[in-house]
Formats: sequence, structure tokens, C-alpha cells
Amino acid sequence: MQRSGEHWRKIIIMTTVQGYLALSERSRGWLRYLHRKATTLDNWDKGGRPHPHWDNVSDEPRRSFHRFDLIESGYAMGLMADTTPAWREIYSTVLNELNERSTSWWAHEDWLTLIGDDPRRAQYPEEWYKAWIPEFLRGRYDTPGWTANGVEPWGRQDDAMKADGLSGWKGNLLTSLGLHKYVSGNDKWNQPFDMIRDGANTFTHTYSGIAQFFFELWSRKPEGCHCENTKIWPM
Amino acid sequence: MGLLREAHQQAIYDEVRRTLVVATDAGVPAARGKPTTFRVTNINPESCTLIVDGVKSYDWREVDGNLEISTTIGKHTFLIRQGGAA
Repeated sequence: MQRSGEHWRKIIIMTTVQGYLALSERSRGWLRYLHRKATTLDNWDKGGRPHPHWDNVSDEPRRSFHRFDLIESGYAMGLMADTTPAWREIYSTVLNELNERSTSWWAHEDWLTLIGDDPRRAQYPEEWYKAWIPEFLRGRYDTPGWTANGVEPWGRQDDAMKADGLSGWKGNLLTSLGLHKYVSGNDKWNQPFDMIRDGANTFTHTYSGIAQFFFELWSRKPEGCHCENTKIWPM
Repeated sequence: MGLLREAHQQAIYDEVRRTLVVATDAGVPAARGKPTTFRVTNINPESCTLIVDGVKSYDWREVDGNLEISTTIGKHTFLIRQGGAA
């Protein structure tokens, strides 16, 4: 049956108000999924284990750690908050849950367990050598993704926010903490909070403190900072 | 685990028309049609007019200085106009 323009106009008016931004069905589906995922209780402390729905498999070897799922999950919350600015509580809840996990031991699993040079560096899958490692360094170079905490000249620096390396994660974490402030207006993550939270390996930081250290790090290394130790970013 | 029973498709304040525009979605099937409420803060309830699905509504009350709207889970539009709005 042919539908008139008036018929469809009435339908649209009944479901949304014309002339204003609206979250699509796909966006709302993603929001429901993220909300359920982020508010499902699990334990990211050293003695715990993240829920299996957090991805630590994709994009091996560079990004196959839980924290990459955290940071990639947060961006949509900022975008959705811009679409429904008078309804932001739900996005704040999700971002807060992401930030609680992002400051945990498991968000730093690689930095705290991939110590020194990779003992597997001569046995990587062939595609890793082709993609990531210059031929002349084959067998003598850690793959991207191996954070190498402890190697010289930096030595062991378990406080990732004060380390010379892991700069990519500093930027990721600042983005996520900043998104919470942007969406909620709440200054919670600029108040002192504990990171890693493993006895002596408990480090207290604030958003501004991390940003200040990151700024100083970049300022004294004009050649560029590095994320994994030994891998400089020429930016 | 938190189940998001219903999401807002729209939630934006139109300063020119002095109107808060809200549209809810169908909600999860298990909750559809069930009564629910939501609150609007930073508003003077006494000066508001509520339009639900295009019809003036009185299904609201003042709670702690906020506007609490009673409705059902499902697709609805809400226009909360502040006094003197067009």
C-alpha cells in the first residue's frame, strides 16, 4: 500500500521530535551493551580476573590487552552525550566504571609482567617479523606490544604514570578521565585516586598531575616519547 | 549487572523555545508498557507545561523541587515547556 507523506510524518513525530538530534537504534543498542558490560561486577585487582567479555585477544601482539577494550569503549559515550546533552547520567556511569578498571592492576598487566627483553624474540610468528621488525634486527628486537619494563637505561618503573615509557597509555587514560569530566561535569578523577592498588605497588595520582608529568616528559624529549620501552614515536 | 530498561533517543534543551525535548525508545521487551517515572532537575515545576505525545499532560508531580513525570516504558515524546514559551 502506498503511504502518504503525512502518514510517515505522523510516525516520525510519534517517535522523536523533528528538528533535534536523536540517538539511532544502533547507538542505543551499543549503549545497552556497554552499560551491561561496564556494570557487570568483576575483579581487576592482581588476584582477580576481568570478566571474559573484556577483550584481550584482538590485534595481537600490539593491543591484545584488556585496557585497549576499555579505552575504545569510552569514545562513544562522549559522542552520545553530545547527542542527548540533557541525559548524561548513563554515560557518566559507564565512563566511571571504565576508569575504575583503567586504574587497576589488570589495566597495567603488560607493563607489570612483560619485564626486560622478550625471551621469545627469536621465535615470533613469521608474520610478526614481516609486519613489525626490521630484518637486520630479527631475533634481537622485542615485538611492538612487549612493554619491556625494566630494560636499561630506564630500569624498573612500575608506576606507569611516572615512567618514561608507556606514554600511549598515559594519553589514553587522560582521554578517558577527561571524558568523564566532560560528560558528567564531576571533578572526581582530578581528586587523588590510587592506581594499580597492589600493596607497595599503589600509586596516587590526579588527572592534572598525570597531564603535568606527561607535558614535562614530552618537553625534555624533543626527539619523541616512547610507549613500549625502546620504541620511540617520532612525532 | 545493570540492565538499561529504556534509553532516551532525544534529550536536549532548546533555549530559544525554552523547551526540554525528550524522546524515549521502546525499551527492552520484558519491560515494555510497565509504569515508570523520570525526573527533570534544574527546572521550576510550577512554571512548566508538559506535552506528552502531542497532548497536554498532568501526569507529573513535584519532588524535592524537581519535576517527576509518570509514564510507561515505550516510545514517547515529551515537551517540557517553561512559562511563557511558545
